[in-house]
Amino acid sequence: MRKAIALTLAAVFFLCAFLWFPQASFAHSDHCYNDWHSCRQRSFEADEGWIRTTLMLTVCDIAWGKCQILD
Amino acid sequence: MKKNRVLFLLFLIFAVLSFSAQEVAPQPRHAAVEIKPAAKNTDSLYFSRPVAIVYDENSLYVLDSEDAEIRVFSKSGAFLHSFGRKGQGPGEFGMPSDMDILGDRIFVADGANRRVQILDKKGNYLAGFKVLFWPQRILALERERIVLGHIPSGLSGKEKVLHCYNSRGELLWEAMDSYFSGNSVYDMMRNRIFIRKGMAGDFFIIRSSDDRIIRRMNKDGALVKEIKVTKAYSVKEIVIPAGGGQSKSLLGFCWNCAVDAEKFYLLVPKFTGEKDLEPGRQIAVINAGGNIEAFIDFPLEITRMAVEGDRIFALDSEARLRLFVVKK
Repeated sequence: MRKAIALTLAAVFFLCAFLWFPQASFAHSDHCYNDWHSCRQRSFEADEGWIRTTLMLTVCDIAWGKCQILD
Repeated sequence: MKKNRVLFLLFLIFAVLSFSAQEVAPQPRHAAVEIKPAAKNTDSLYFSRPVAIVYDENSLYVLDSEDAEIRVFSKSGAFLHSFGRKGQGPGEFGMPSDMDILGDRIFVADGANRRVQILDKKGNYLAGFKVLFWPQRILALERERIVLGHIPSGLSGKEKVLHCYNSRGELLWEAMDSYFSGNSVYDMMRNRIFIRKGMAGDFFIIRSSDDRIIRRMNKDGALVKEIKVTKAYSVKEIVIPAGGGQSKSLLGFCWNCAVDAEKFYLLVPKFTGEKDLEPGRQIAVINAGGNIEAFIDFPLEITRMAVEGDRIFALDSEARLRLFVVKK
């Protein structure tokens, strides 16, 4: 009986974890993706020189990667 | 026999001379003379981040992405009114990136909100629809034929760059594959395009770099003609840091452009001291055959423009609206 309860609880726990974590991760990745797009758009509209623009775009890419890893 | 040789030689000399004369024929240079704006208070002429400038019969419209508003001026530069604010509701914008005018309607590419809004000329919301990408360019060919351009993410191979919708947001067609090399920074620079309206219900695609071809597309998104811009119009090669320690070569074609009466006005980028490219002070006028007709020199650097006959409405590098008339 104990074994069955423990197994059920474990199953419920893992099910919750699996259902919750991917959602949180997707929500986050969505926010990172939007920020990345905004960053790229701002870089483009800044009317800076092309080398500066590429540097700004690179910073956008780095920030996006960081956002995905850290948040 | 000897006579034939002499004739052939004379013909050869004539051919070489005429060819070289054609190559070095100086293009007419016109001056863009600034007209003092009608407004006494010039504050309204300054913007935070102006991204588009269009006109209709009577007025001039400037879209500011940062302030999320459209300011309306008379064609002599007098401020009339403005509309729009930051937000997600009807008539509100989130980093709008472009606009167009057709008849009594204004079409706005509402970037961060990933939608298109159709407004009347007082800013009242008429219609709109959502899209799955960040719309970067917009062109209303007809009321029910709205062309959108977007900068591909560069994450998943080639993407379609042009998308055409009706006012209910139903997709009519998609066209033009993006460049894809796997380097998102380099690809983004190469995929920067301008969409400009033609006179026969068609439109033109002009790339800002790596391509001296102007593409004429019909209203169904099919390529009609490729106009190769003459080599006398010099493109400028720069080496850009493209991320990941890589360097890539890019050919700068134009900073911005306009089309008026079947002529293309290309804003020629210029080199900075650090070998970068920035907005220049010169426009090259290109005819329908791809040849240079003239150059127009400005007293200062300009970033965006709209051309109407001999009048040029421009935004300078300090984000100020300026009006010019071309003196020939």
